Amino acid sequence: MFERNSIDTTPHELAGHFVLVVEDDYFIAEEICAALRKRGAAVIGPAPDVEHGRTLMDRQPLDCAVLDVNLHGEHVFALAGELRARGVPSIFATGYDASFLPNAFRDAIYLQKPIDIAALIRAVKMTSRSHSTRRN
Amino acid sequence: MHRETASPGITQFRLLADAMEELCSARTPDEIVRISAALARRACGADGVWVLLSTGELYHHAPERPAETLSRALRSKVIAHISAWTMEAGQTAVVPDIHRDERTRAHTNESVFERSLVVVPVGGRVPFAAIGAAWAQEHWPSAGEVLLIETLARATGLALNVRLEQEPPLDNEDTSAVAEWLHRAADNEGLRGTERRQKLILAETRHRVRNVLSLVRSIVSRTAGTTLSAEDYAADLAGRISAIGRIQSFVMRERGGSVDLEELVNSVLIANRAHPAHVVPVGPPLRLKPRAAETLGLALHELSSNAVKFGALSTHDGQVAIRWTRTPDQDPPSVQLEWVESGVKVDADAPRRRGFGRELLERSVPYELRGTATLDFNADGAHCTIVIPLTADNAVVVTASAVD
Repeated sequence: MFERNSIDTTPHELAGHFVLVVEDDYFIAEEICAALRKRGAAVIGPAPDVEHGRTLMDRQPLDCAVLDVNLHGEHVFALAGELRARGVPSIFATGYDASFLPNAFRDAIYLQKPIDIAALIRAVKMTSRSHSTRRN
Repeated sequence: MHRETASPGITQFRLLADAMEELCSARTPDEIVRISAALARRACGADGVWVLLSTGELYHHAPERPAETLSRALRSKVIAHISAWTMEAGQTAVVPDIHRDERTRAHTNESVFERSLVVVPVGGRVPFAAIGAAWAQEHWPSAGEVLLIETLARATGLALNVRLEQEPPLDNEDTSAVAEWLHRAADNEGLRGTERRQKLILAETRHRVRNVLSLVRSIVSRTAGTTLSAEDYAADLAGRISAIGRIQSFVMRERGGSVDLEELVNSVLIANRAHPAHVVPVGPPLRLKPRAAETLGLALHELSSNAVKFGALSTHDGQVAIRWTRTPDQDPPSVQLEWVESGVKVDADAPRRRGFGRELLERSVPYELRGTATLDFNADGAHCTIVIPLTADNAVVVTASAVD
């Protein structure tokens, strides 16, 4: 699924990446954000719900978003759709099986919880690279 | 005096066949019972139909009666007793006059509208429901009518069973967008009945397990950053994981997943070996949703374990007062929980607070529950105030009148 030879372990491999994180569990959100920050990413969030995520999305350009699916009983797909409309790809980090993802997001990267941090980093790099035209 | 008893003919059974077809496409339990009642009315002149599930759920319909008449009748003990009898005996009960039948006469009173009943158990050897037709006037049903009601009851039971299999658990009240999305995914796969229900339950179970594992993992790494020695690390971690485990078993025990606050408080205290003589929890009944129970349960665990190690529960004279009150005047109403330690000589050298508990209170409570928490160390012990809004996300909201 991911290229194995491109793992870059330098501390700032995600420098310059703006990543939105939406996750309703505080400690899980902190773990994701800490892992991204440690590698130099600029973390937007974390947001505990869709409403908050939407506010953050409007505030600045993003390279990609790491989204939990079930946020206090609300699902994240509407937000993912709005992000996609702006050209921002989503990475879904969830405890649900991939088979539950709506068809519209079948091509998105799916990370099963508990998420593998290395896979998360690779996913952020991969999705953001395809999106790198945004900031020239 | 009493109604003519005519045997149902071809017409009645044709009506029954039509009703069966309608039952197959009915979408809700209420709709099923309406179809059933309409047929009982047209084919046998019955005034109402009820379905009492063995779980206690009740559906009823009386086409030409004011709704409150039937619902008052259904509260009567007659229906409960005759339904229980028919499910236990596994046979149809025919009661031409409830005042004279020995199964019902002890429970009649003037306010009930029904006079005659035919009640059928549904579900084979282990009935899951009793389905009854009621007549307001004394009515001696013919053998043909009883057969027709029995057939109708079985069709109604089947339709209801299929429909209930497809529904989420009835007391789950999960009408959230997530539940809807999961149902749509099951629709797309063309799943029905038991298979569908299993898929949905499995999806929720996996989701819960994976989330709990994620939480445990993040707590494992977080705990590592907040303790001084390997022994402390192991002890703190074991305590936190046990607390998560206990809260999960609470959440899984109830079908709706809500947790009684007092039970939660007591279980946390017992797990930390807090002596009941030193702790006084007081507060009104309140049921928390799983997320709120998890966060608050972990917060209480941190407070308790800290009190046992360094605070009021580490000495013989210490006391902890735990008091929660509802503040219905606020919008939204909230619950305020106070943890007040007393009788402690606070050792200035003792580690005041490991970072984890404070972070949990001051960051996780606002983040997850939109509440607030403050933690202070006074001269005679810790004082913590947690305020959580009683939104539908956080609590099973009970009206004030139901509590008072």
